[in-house]
Amino acid sequence: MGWTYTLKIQCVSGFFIIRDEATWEIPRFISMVGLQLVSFRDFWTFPFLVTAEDYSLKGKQYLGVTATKTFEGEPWDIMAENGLVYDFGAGLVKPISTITQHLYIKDAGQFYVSNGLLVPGSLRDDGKRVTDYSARFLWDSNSFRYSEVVCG
Amino acid sequence: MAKILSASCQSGSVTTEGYVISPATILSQGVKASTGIALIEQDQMTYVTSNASDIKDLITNLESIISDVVSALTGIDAVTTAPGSNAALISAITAAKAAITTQKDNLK
Repeated sequence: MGWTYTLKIQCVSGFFIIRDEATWEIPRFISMVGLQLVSFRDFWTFPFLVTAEDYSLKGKQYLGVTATKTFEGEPWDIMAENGLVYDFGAGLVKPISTITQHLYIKDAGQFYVSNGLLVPGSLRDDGKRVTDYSARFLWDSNSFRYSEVVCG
Repeated sequence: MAKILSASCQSGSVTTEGYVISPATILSQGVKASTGIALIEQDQMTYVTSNASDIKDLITNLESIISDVVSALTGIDAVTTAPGSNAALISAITAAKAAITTQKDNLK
């Protein structure tokens, strides 16, 4: 087993796309981090998100939240349009404005490192919220290395 | 890829799955109640009505009009100075009505 940083975690507008390169990565990640993942299309994601439809209707429930906009597209596009993010801690999709977590990451040179996975919608000191990020799981330190964190 | 959903429309208001979608481009008059499909592509919404009921109503009205014309001509023909002189015309109109009835019963 190689301890390379191959497991890639992408948060796209509050939706999660996780890609592995070796079959041992997902079960080991689940074991180490305690977050359940399931296969969806050609990637892995959280079980709650696989029920995401490819359209939302204003007024109708979308992933448990009343949609504010009628929109067709990928789940992450629909979540962005409706201002929704997945809070994996609660296991629920929520309006981004209701996320109360603050962003705690430390600068590690050209990367940011955090012990935990960032909850999309987390608040930065300047009041902006995390909408997207790209991270790798560090197998040896059980932490996450973020190469890109987008706030809006 | 656009999402296609069953929809209905009345007075310019398009509804699908019980929710009004707006603003939607309606590719017909959209006045009288109709059923059709809604196409949603990103934030663009289009409603396409099924014209089948409109066409059937139109043909039904044509049938009625032709029946009245035949009745009128038959009456006129009976009292004219040369009874039976319009028989061919009446037969032609009657045949036309039968053709329209057949078309109505076999709408695609």
